[in-house]
This record gives sequence, C-alpha cells and structure tokens, in this order.
Amino acid sequence: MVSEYNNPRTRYYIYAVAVFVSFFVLLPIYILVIISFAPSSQTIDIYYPYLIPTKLTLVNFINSFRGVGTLLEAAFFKSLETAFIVAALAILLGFHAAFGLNRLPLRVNSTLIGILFFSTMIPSITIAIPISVTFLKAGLYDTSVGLALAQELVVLPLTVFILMGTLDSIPKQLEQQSRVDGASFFQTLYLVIFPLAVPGIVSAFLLSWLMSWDEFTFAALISPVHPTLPFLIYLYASSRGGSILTGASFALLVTIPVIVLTIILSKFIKGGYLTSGITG
Amino acid sequence: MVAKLELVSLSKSYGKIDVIKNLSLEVGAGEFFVVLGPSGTGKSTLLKLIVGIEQPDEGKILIDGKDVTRLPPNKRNLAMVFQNYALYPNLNVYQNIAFPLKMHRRRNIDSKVKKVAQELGIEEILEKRIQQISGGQQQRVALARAIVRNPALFLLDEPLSNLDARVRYSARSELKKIQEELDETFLFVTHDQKEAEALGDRVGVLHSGSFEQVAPYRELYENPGTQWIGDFVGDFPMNFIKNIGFRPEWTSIGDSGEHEIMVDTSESIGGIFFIHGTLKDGTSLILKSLRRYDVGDSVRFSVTRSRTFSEAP
Repeated sequence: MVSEYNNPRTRYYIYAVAVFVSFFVLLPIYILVIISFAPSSQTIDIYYPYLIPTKLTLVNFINSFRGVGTLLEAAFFKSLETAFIVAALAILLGFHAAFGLNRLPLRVNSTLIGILFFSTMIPSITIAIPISVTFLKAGLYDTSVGLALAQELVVLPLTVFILMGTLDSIPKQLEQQSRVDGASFFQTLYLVIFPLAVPGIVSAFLLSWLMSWDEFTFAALISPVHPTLPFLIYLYASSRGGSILTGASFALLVTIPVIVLTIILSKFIKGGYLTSGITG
Repeated sequence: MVAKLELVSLSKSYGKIDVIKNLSLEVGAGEFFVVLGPSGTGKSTLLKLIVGIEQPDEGKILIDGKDVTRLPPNKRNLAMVFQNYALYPNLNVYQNIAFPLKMHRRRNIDSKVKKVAQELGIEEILEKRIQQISGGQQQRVALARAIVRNPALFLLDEPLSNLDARVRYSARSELKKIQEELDETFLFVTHDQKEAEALGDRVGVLHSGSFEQVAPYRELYENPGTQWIGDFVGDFPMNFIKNIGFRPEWTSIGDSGEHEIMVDTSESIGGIFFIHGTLKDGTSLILKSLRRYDVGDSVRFSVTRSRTFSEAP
C-alpha cells in the first residue's frame, strides 16, 4: 500500500490536490490580510482590487481601533475567558462522561449519545431565549460563566463523542495492569488513562475552545451588554456605521489567538504511540 | 513473601455460557503451577478471577488463607504479566518498573528498581522508551515490574507466546531459574505443552471450565486420568483400541504382532519415524518406529504397555 504513494503520478496527484485545498482555504485569509493592511484605494474602493497590493499601511487598524480600544479589549478578554471556561469544563465533564459511557453496554450508550446530541439538533436561538430568561433570574446573565454554560450545550456532546473514541483506543489491559500494580480506580483514571488520552483530550480542548471563540447566537442573546468578540465585530462591522475595513481588522484580531493556540497545542496531537507498548 | 493459593468451588458465567464450573485448586507456597488448556477453555477468565478484574458468581479465592474474593485487584498483593506485557507506553522502562512501587508507597524505589533491573540484565535500557526496545526486552521489563514489588503470588498469562522461537526457549529456562531463585508461587497459563512440561512442578489441565486432571506433566503423559487427557496431552494423541489406550512408543513392531495396520503416512522427527496407520476396523493409530515404512505397507505390532479406561472412547 505504501509503495503506491511513491509512484510519481500518484505523488503529483496528491501534490495537486494539496495545493488546490491550501489555495481554497488560504485565499480568504489572504484577502482578509490585504484588506486589513492595504490602503482602501487599492482594495474595497475600486472595482478591480489589486491581488498584490503595492503599498502597506496600518491606517485601517488605527482607524478601526480608535475610540473602541477599551471596548475591544474587554470583549477580547471576555471571549478568551469564556473560551477557556468552555474548553476546561468540556474536558472535565467530557472525560469522565466518556469513560463512563464506554463502560455501558453498547445499546445503552448509543441511546445516551443520541439523547446527548438531541440538544444540538434544536436551533441555538430557540434554546438561547429561555436560557437567557433563566439566567437573568439566576444572576448568570451577561457573565462569562453563564455564556460558557450555555455554549457547553453544543460543545459537550461533541467533546464526549471525541473522547469516547480516544478512550476506546486505549488498550483495556493497561487499565487492568494498573489495578494489579496497586493503583486505585481513580489513580488508574488520572495517572494511566488520562496521560494516554492526551492527544484526544488536546484535540477536544482545541475544538471546544474554537467553538466557543466564534460562537455567535448564545453570545448575542446571553451576553449582549458586555459582548464577546464575534458579537462586537458584528455590531461594528455592520450596524453601528462600521465598515468592511473595520470588520476585516477585527476579524484578523480574532484569528491571531486561534493560530497561536493551535501552534502551541499541535505538538500534543500526535497519536499512534498508544498501542506500541502492547505486542500482539 | 511466598503464599499459597486456594480456589474453592469457583463458578463464573457470562450470560448463558458457563466459563468456569465449580473449579477448585490448591497451589502450594513456592510452587510453579501451570494451567494448561486449549483456547476457549476459560484460562483467561480464571486469571481474571484470581486477579480480581472479574468477580466469581460463586466460590472463594484465598491467598495465604485470607479470603480475597471481594477485594479489588489493588488490594490483593499479586503481580501479573499479561500476554502482551501491557507496559505503559507513556512511561520509560525505569518508570514502568517503578510504577507499582509508587502505587504501594514503598521506600527506596530507586535502589529496588536498579537491583531488579540488574538481576534481569536490563540496567542498560532503563532510560529507553518502551517503543525503542525489543520484544524480549519488553518481556523482561514486564517481569521486572512484577518482581520488584515482592508480591505474594505471580500470575503469568502466556508471557512467552509473543516471542520469537529462539528467544522463547532462553526466556523459558530463564523464567524457571528466576522462579527457583525467588522461591515464589507462580501460576503460569499456557496452551503450549512444551512450556507446561518444562516449567510446571504440577500442571492442571483445564477442560470446559474445570480441571480435568492436576498432576506433574510426566504423570499426565504416563498415566492420564481420563481418555480426554490421554488424547490432549503429548505431541501425538494417545492411541485407543476400544477403551485401551497406549502411546506411540508403547508398542513393538514385528511380524508376530497381534494387530495389523495399513500405513497412511509416515513422518520423520529427529531420525525417528511416526507411522500413521489404520486398523481393519478403521481406527487410526500412530506408532513409533526406527525405520521408515511406505504408504500402503502393512505393519504388525504388539502393545507393550497400556492403560485401560473405564468409559468407551
């Protein structure tokens, strides 16, 4: 099978697809960068914008952020806080839920997973309204924790699902060996299983974090007074006399933490070593 | 710490399938006991019951007279080597060996790990990752991890079956030596008769959920308790003419012999021939012979030694 990839024709085909996909994914980001850093006279003010701008400028940024600095900063940190709460909670609950679900008979756990995903089938907006009303009474309205809890509705089922797959791939015998070696159930869970699940846990963490970071519906309905970044961008780029330029600059700001986090965490997402201490 | 193991009327079923049926056994302190059985006779289940990964439906497990039936695995003070070694892939060799010591909050972990590593000749690879060492070394690491804690009882689940033939033989004799030096109680599970013969002080032959016979291997071979044992134990199954059983070598070939077979095949093992043939009534037999016979030859032989079984074959 492997030798098939060494065939030059197959290889060119793979390269061609890779280039095409990269182009497809990276072009919008490139356009975003151009709009942010090129003078508007070369981008949005003309019918045929330059694909490669001749001049770079920070004017767009300065104009966009002028006067909204503190607001933007607050939104940035609120988004950051919410995303980390969502991701941490998703792992904390998801890891244990996934472990438990894996131990149940197949028919029971697939039913439970179905129920878990049920909440994601309902449009967020229909759940967000009753939640925000309840949160008003509970004092969670407009708080990061409240927003995080609401977002967990959508994030948690997916996290549990990912972690079930990860935990399922850890050989059962390691768990049994650990018990025989004198570890209690919880020692086994945290000292043996958790470290082995790290690649899956990191993926799930990253995914939860990203889902929260650009989540819009819950953010708009549950935390409108002190908004998160996506909602703030929406407000400035569209309704409050904002412009595409402002939107592009903000959008770039949203992207940077995602890239940083992905780079930091990507070295943990390497599977494949799980079964290597196990022969046969 | 050397302990004896007692199993009293153990039973375990999964759904409608009875895997272990009313099984009793006593393994003496310092004994090397081998559980021998074909696949699917409940060997693994038996180990899981002793280790505490599974709970028996009925019966009791006693280690050194103490009832451990309802204790979790970490409270039973025994060590186990799984068939696939189950080394923790995120820990290096040293950390793997130290793991049970840490879990038991033992002191002098470092010196204990180094001592056992030296005994097993793996002190050079202590800092290596599990993925970097060979199968034979992995087996030693698993063994070291079991020995280091000085448990009451060692359970080994086919620990040699994943090794190459050549390594397997040396590992086998080494294992026996280690057990003799430690003078600990070993319960060794295998489907390999050669291992059972080479290692076991006594061998328990497991057949559909309970022991068919428990005896030294020689005894199983020479004096099988049942026809099933006679058939199962040995390189070749025992021959049966009605309810009289005899081994291929318990015969003498000669023209004056009382029985006659037609030769079907003859195979040579180490210069000795084993003649597969058929009696007139269609019974298949295997005879040991010093010379070769061709297919279709007629061979007369007498039975020089036999064992009579009460039930019909």
